[in-house]
Amino acid sequence: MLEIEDLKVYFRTNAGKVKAVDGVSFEVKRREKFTLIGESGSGKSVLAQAILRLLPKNAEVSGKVLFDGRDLIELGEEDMRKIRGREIAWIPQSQSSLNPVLTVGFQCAEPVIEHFRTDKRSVFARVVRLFEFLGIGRSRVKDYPHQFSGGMRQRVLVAMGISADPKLIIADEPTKGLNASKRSQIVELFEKVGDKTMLIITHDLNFAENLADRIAVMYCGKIVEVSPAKEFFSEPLHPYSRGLLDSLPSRGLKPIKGFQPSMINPPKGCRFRDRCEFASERCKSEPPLINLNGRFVRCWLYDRR
Amino acid sequence: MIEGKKIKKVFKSGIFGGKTVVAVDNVDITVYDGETVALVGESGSGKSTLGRILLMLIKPDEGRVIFDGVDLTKLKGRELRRIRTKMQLIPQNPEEALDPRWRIYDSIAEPIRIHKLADSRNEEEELILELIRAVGLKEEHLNRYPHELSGGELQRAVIARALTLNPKFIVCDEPTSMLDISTQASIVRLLMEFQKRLGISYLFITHDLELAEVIADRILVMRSGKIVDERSLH
Repeated sequence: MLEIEDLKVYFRTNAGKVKAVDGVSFEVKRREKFTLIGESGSGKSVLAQAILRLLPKNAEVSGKVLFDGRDLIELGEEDMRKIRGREIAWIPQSQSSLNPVLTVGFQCAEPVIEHFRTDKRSVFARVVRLFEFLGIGRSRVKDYPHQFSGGMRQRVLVAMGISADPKLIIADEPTKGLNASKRSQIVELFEKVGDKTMLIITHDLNFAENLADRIAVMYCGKIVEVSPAKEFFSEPLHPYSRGLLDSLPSRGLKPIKGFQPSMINPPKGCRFRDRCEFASERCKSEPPLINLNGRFVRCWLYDRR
Repeated sequence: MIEGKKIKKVFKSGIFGGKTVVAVDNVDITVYDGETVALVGESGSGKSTLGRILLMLIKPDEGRVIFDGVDLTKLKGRELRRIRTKMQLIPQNPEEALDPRWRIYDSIAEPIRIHKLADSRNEEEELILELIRAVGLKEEHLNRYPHELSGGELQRAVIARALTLNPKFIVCDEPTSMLDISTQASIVRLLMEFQKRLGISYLFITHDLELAEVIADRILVMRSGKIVDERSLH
């Protein structure tokens, strides 16, 4: 469905090159809920924007993004427009992604009008059905964004994302800024959308645990682990994954020592080396992504050669 | 020890105060010395308003706030200001807590200057260096502006600023909800360490029940302006 091969996104800045995404490869399978977790600055949002080619001009992108066999990096802007919203939908973070002067119904209809050119009445009927399905209520189609609470606004964004029936949905931090009880509603909402292929980006581990089929962990522009969700939460492989889980309140609230390194000048070799309790001489050279019975980890600890 | 007695606060909005919201409804609350009380509730339940009333940053419509035997609601400007050195707020969003046009150094130095805690520039600098080392920042951070720091570093700076006046009571208003998980762990650990060392009492406002259960001695649950549940831990 979606195959990413050695994707690199570098930003040119006055201070030097920022390697936001540095050689990332993974595959999202059909109907899978693939969740990318990482902390702020790990490059996960940039990665998503690179897939949809939404990055600013000073970004240098290389590698391959294969979507149903086509390489999106090579496509022209005109072809890309046909894919955005129609084949790959983007559910943005909830704060300010809705236009305040348009009704939510219109904003949800827009992708359908844009891509299908059907008559107004059937589009309207479709949006109403969607609103009912997602529990927003048909009466709210003509309301404006400011009339909605944060949780409801998130539902509208989901409606907007799936209105044109896309093949792949990319959701960027869908639980950011929401209460604990709202978060569990968002989980239900995503489960309702069900059989769609999804790439979910989040730093909310509880949300990921409830929803994901597979989990990829990103640290400093690199993927350090890819595991099925269950196994990831019961037995994380990479020392960073372990540190992340141990810092959850329910798992001991143990902080990871040190700070995240600068992205302009990341440490050579393993980027987690300075904060890792298992670090050794070997970690000064870059560890490969090691395959352990279908799980992947980028750490010398698992190298059996 | 800080005590709120029968606190009530009604917010009015609209022309002629047509719409009213009872943000805090007849609440009794006590935080003992050296204790951490977690105040949990959904957004809009009135927990932040209650926290700010205890600091007298919002005046209650009814009720009294008693801090170390003194009724704060009866105090006037200057007396209140003096007592306020003993009470601090650590807000949710560290980016909004510090003046974006000031260097971190000046933001931390401001309370020291206002309350004339240092006799000389050197003494002030020594005080600040000691503080920022205690919160895990480096000297180089002092010369930067807020936008040049990460969320976790900023929150450390805000904590350093809150500690300058040696407070006895701090209201932490969701201090980690904007931070990453591993950063949250280190900031919460830092706050707990200061409590042990300095005997500060905390009112820790959060909507994360799991976090509340790990850090608090007591949990209060707030809904629609009322405290609806209380639980002791440990």
